[in-house]
Amino acid sequence: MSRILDQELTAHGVAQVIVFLSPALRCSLPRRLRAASGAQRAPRPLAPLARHFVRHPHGQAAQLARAACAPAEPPAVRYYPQLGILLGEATRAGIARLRASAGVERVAGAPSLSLIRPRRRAPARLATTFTWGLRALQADRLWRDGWTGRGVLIGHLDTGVDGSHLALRGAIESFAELDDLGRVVAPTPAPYDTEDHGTHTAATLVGRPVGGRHVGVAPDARLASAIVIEGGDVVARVLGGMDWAVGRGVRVLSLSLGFRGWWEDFRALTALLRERGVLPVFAVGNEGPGTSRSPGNYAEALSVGAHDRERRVAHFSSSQRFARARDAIVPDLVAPGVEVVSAKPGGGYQAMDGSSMATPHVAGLAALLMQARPQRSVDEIEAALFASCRLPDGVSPERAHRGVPNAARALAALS
Amino acid sequence: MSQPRDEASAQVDPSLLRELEDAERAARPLEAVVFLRRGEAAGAPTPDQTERAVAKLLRSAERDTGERAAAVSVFRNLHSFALAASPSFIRSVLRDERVASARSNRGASAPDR
Repeated sequence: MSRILDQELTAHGVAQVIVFLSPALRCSLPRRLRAASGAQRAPRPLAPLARHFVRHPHGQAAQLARAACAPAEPPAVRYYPQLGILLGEATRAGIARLRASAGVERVAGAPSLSLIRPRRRAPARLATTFTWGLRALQADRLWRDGWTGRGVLIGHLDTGVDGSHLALRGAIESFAELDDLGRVVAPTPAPYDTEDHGTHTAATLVGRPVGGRHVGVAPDARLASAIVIEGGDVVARVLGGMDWAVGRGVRVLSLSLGFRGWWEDFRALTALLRERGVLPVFAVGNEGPGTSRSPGNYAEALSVGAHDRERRVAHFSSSQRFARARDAIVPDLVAPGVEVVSAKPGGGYQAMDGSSMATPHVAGLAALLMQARPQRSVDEIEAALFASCRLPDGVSPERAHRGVPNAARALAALS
Repeated sequence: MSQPRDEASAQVDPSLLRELEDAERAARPLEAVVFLRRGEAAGAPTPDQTERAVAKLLRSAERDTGERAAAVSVFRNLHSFALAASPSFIRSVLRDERVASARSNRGASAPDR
């Protein structure tokens, strides 16, 4: 069994598989069943194989159907006559039975494919004193008591950051660029952004007020920011950035990136971050219900999905249920992630959508709590954030899990 | 003392195995990311412990293959490292029981935002 398939089964209890029918079985099917085109329900002659598939509540098909409020569950298995395959979800035992069945040539894991969705960007003016996201969190209620993130260092691994932006002046404690093997490039360049994503997330974390207008949740916290992603992305760059940030002494790590699906490798690292006193706040992904990204989908991470101004979960926000006792649903919570206005490289502001935008809201909020209660552990800060959440009316916990956090309630939970 | 194993029991990413085969055919080096097992001691491994573990592992692979890694980057705080080396050197590393898992540094598994 492939490692990827094995990991899917361990994580979810089921996996999507393709069953390749043997030529003998295909030839034995009536002509009309061989000549048809398009996916269809498994015909009667294939019923002995179809019964090994399941319609599992943790499966992607069921999660998609629930999220779409579909009136009927999708069939457990589909037959593709022109390809001679069955496609559906099966448990570990079911896969073993399929492999042992007559008429089965091969059983393989079916990779989850998804569109590469362009992130929405729009020019924006900062027209209000507080962005809608800051208001939704009620971050200003903590600022009034002096909890602005001062003294807290946040790790920010992204496309870089434009350190000359008015909202980010004085906000960058340290900056690094990692090479393809995860080594810090010397000499260290002045903070710059290879795109615009990193400047946007950085200013949501620690943006200073400009003209009395705020975009940053923790406007006195500082960043250890590193370029780890752009064209030609490699794993070691992300690890090198994490390692560098931990070495700088960050207390929160805000990561608005991830690997699609389940990657076991980063799980031990995420647990290690917590042991080192770093709260890992990771985006869950932008591929919708029944999907998630690693490391945001680990129980060891604080994973963040996106909601809009009306507190509805954004359609693109990933969510998924895992077959594990602890923290089975991701994301852990949802935060402002639609039409989020933040800094744009070179000056000015722009609006973006994504769980990438929601993540720094929560990481910034964690920084406020860490300033206010510096002795509290990572687990306690996380628990306070969870305790502050409320599930908006009509929103399913399968999509939003605990719901929307609140700054004042989180601080109260630590008192 | 850790000993090299005959077969890797580390969890190795299939794409790294494919890259190893391709690199062997082309006789060229490749890059891998390696995650170490945690020892019996309680608590998180210290950065110094990670440095020492990586150094021992690399020395062991050097003795095994008579080669050296072209480049190594140790992630002291993450109990892991990345290396560029020949396929035989990387296969030797993967056989070491101190290795928990490994994956390709490049390719289809790249992160996106």
